[in-house]
Amino acid sequence: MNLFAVSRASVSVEHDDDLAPRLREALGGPALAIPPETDAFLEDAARMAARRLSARRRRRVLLAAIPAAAAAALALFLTLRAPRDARDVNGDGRIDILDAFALARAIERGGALRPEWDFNGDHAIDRADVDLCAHRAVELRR
Amino acid sequence: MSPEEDDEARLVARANAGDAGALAALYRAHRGWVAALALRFTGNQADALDVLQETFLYLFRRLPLALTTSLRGFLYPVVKHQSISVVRRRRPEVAVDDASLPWHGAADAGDFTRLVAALPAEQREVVRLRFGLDLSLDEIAAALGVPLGTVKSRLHNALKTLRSQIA
Repeated sequence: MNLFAVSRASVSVEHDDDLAPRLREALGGPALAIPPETDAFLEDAARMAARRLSARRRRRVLLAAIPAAAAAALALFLTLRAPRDARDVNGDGRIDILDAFALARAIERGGALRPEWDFNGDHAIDRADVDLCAHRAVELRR
Repeated sequence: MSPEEDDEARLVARANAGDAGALAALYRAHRGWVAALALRFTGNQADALDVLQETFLYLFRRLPLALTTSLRGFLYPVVKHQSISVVRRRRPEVAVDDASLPWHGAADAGDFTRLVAALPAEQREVVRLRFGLDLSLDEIAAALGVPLGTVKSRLHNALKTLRSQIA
């Protein structure tokens, strides 16, 4: 069908005879008066829907943040729980001559000695281990 | 995009961001049209108000809106199907479907209403929206989800048929 003809026909039809007004008269009718309480109800519903949507968005943001927070917490936990280097006798996070002093004091006091402090592997924790510990600390400082 | 569509798109975007004022503005902009359409379909003010409420509550539940057409294009089938439900509830003995949903125009329209009702469903729908609700051709195209050219040709054919019958 010729589009120009269609367009011209659809425009002209509302002006060239009394068909359009008669159709309007037949098919039209009174407008519906919307009671104020219906308006109030639906505007309230709109506000609640917007609030629900905002809350849903916030929840989604929080849910998206949970894996990141969990990963950070796990990393921190693993860091804190990382096995301490056996050479860090005093547990200050550094390996230095102070560890040798700490080991010497522990041996002298007769306190609890950890098996991993047997640095020379002779199955005894004694001055030889203190010497080795001190030697390695000095080596590390170089 | 027309200025009205641009405004509507902006309101929809704001409503999708959780702006209650924008959602209320969309309601106010379209309530009259929805109410008039529901009244034509149901022929009863109380039922039309029920349809109005159900239509907008459905719209609000669908947030965020992903519209592929104008809001009227989204609302038209909702109003139509809510009206069918209401009419079925009110008169369960009458079979009403998409094609046979009545149109309540002027009470004394007589034969003219019958002539329009005898048109093929697609043409009838366009005629009703154009003359019963005074929608522009663009608005009808959006409401029915068809190209503007299709609306024009349906209207042209419908009017040609009506003219031949009343001549």
